[in-house]
Amino acid sequence: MGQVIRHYTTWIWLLLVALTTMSWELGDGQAASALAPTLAAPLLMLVAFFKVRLVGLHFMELRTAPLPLRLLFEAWVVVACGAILVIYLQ
Amino acid sequence: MSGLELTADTPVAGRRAERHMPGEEGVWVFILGDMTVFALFFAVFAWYRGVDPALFTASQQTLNAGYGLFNTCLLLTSSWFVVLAMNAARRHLNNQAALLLVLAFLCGLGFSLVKFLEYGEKIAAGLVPTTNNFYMFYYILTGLHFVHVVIGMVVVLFMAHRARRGIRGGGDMSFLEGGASYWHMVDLLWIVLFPLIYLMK
Repeated sequence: MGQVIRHYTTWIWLLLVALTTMSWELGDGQAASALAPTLAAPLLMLVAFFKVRLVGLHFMELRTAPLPLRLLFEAWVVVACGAILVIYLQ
Repeated sequence: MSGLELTADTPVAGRRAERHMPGEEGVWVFILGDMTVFALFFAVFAWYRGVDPALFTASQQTLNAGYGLFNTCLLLTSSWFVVLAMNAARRHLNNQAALLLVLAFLCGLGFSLVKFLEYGEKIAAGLVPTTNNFYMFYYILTGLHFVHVVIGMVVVLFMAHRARRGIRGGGDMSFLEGGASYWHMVDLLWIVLFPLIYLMK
């Protein structure tokens, strides 16, 4: 099992869990009052889509996928994140 | 690029020249289509939130973000188990691959139990889809996602069965890769839903 777990994606998983816990702190925990909602909300979305890219590139193996597929994914990230932010900040 | 055929033994961290499609093309058409539908839902949710931010923020306060946090971690861990299972399958460690996929399935089961607990609490408190726009979206978005979780859990079980038997041909690997990509998509969509519904004020 050791050789299977000793893979760089284990670090990606730890980073994802850490970012999730930080987001929760920022949105609902002790840190929630430290930041204005108008600042916290876009930050939460940017962190979420950063996590989405980590899952896409390293878990879904899009990092080494054919370029058109990789670009479609990247485009989805930009459009989905952009649309939410633009609508939210209006 | 097309001249290089990848085998199950080829390490994933390949060079640029060895780009490899994880799973069948059809699976990816479905995954990207699904992601696009969800992106539209995200935008519609954000739009309606903008119409009545006070209602959405007040309704959000009645949610338990702890459930959302726990469930996000369950799906992330489940996805990680699937990645490890793919590593094991490529090394022909069939039993390890199958075990890791069963663990991934159990994380999905945990997610489902938390979801039932959460829905039960909300319904008991009289918070149903007809309560207001926030709750209508809460049930539609999390419900639609939950359908994907249930389908994914079945797929992961089939993957465990296939992995245990061992990879005999390119078709086996392609099936595992396609299933893994679908399960990661389920995780990926929840990564956006969690802050969107539970956290953003």
